[in-house]
Amino acid sequence: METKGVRNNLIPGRFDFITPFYDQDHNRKSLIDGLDSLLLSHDLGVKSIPFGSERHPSKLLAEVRSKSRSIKLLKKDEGVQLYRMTYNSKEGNEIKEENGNFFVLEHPDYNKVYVALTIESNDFFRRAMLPFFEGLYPHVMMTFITHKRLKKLLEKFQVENHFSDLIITRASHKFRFYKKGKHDKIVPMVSWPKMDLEEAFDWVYKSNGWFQSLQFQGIRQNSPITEVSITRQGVVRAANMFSKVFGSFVLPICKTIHENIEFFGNRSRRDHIDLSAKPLVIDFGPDQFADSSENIEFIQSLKRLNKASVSVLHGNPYIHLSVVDYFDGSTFDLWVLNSRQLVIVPQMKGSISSIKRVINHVFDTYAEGDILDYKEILN
Amino acid sequence: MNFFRYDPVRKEIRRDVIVFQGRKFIPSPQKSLNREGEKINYVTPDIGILLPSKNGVIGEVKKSFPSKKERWLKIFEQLMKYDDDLTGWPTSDEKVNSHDIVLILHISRAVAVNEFYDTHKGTEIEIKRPFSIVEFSRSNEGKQFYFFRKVSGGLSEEAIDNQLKYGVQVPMDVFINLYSTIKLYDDEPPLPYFLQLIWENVVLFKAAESGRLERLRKNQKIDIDLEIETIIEELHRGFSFRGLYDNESERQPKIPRREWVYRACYKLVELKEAKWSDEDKTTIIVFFRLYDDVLAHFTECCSGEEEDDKQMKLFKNEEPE
Repeated sequence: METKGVRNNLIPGRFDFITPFYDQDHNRKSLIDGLDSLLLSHDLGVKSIPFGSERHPSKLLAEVRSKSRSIKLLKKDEGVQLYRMTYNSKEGNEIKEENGNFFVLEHPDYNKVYVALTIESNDFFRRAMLPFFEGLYPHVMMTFITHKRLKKLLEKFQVENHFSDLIITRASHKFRFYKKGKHDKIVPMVSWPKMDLEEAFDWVYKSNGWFQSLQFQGIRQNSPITEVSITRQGVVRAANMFSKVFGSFVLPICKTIHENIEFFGNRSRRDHIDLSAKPLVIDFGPDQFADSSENIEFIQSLKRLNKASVSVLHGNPYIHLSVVDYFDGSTFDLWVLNSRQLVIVPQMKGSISSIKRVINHVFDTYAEGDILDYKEILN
Repeated sequence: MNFFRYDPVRKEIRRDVIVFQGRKFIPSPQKSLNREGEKINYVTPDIGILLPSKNGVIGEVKKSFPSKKERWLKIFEQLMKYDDDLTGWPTSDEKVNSHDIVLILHISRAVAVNEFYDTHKGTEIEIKRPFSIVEFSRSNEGKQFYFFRKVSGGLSEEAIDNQLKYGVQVPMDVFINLYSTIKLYDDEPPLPYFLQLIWENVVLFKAAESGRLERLRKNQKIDIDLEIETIIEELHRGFSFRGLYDNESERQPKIPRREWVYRACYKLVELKEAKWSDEDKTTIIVFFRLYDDVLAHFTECCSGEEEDDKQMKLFKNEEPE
């Protein structure tokens, strides 16, 4: 299918390298290798969004049509599709029609996991593509990368690619809740003092916070070789070395999404003929709830879950909450009956995306922990 | 119940032990008349257990005992009705070989009630079958427990009797599946709680099915058509003791009771959260809206109701604390 003559976001006078790339037929491997080559010779960047979906994107995206946005399938090859998004953008009082292309790559092993990739401008990605995918929730599920896991991914990337250092050049972080005296040292939210990984992660962890996004340079022989950014939701951008970045970050994130789908799936009581419950546990480690004031912190954190009802049936000495997710009608009982664990009991409906949303919220606003099956704590 | 159901070796719930709640038993001809000579059609102990040996246990649970001692005798008279060759057990001939009777009560009254029993035993109180008094309390030692201890008497199951002799701490998290799925007993729950159950587990489900929930805003509503029977059935299937003993029987009460559901629906209509859709009041249209805290919303709506002055009652015949 012809894809030329439709790009209107090029800088005038610049040669269009991108359109020929779109015109080529790509499979999974040639797409990643091709992106790598493209980045080597041109001032571009790849932006990727790993996501999970019960439905194939070609069906899901075909249904998306609004006054301000439409999606068209341009090409379909082995495990790879190319789409064009047309959208309205406002400049002053003028509404302009813009468009940009993106690929969707099907994961070869995980049949509900995909990666959306684009080499279009940052503007297209930030203003159109990313909000579009975020807006597809609960039909599309992105992930969350815990503090511990993010650090491990970075360390592995450093070792595998023989970087002497990874230096954080830009970051945004969030604190879960303010504790007097704990957050007195103010670090700018975006411009980050050049710190090495260990120092930065240690500081954020001790401040009970997490990185919303992280931009870093891989250093070899005192020179920056690559610059990569990664967000807590698994969005990865790279200006070069994309195939390495893809292998070190995007594929492990795909694996996490796949594991989430597997682990969070079939938890609705309606999924089981005897309507039995299949609870999950978040283990925060010893003494998390040793102090009863922690109950208040936890309940206040949960109360901040948007588009939800959070009712307190018991607050002290133990916690029992009833949570409704208004995105899709999932309901949960949440229990804290010992000093280290939160038990999440999905009720009649407990969808994968909703379980992920509740756990994501707990990790973002209260604390991170290990996710276990309830049966594991009984043995 | 869980002392009998839980297999500590395999660390799992035994499938061969049947438990039930609020079951109707027919008294023997010898005990079919009350003191006034009126016919007793049936007795309904709080809990019952049937063991594979075809022996049974009947339990009466009193979280709070009446403060007036003169009312205590009535409770023992109730227990004496269970000291009978009852018909209605979930066996082929509806009988058991023998059964124990257990009074389970909060630790705060256990000693006094036991003294009362000792004083009146053999005179006003006569129980021939194995009878025991078991006290319970909730404790917090970094972990939430229910503590159970036998105050007097003995249970026929020796292993459980020995366990209860010195007291047993039962961690609440072991039975979290039960606490999360059995939300209704044979006593009417407080109205705000019951409205929350209906809202979150029946109305919400229909709202989600409509496909409009995802885009619903706080100033909008979805009209949900609901048959009263659907409300009863959904809550019965999902949140009553049926989950433990999935065998419909006329002896087993259908929880929630129809009158509770009607009371809740009338309240929704009064609150303008619903309207009747037919004259016979078999169907109701509920105006589903998004509330940040469903329980708090209905608690506020029912703030004038009598139930608000009471603690949530788990078992019947309790006095408010």
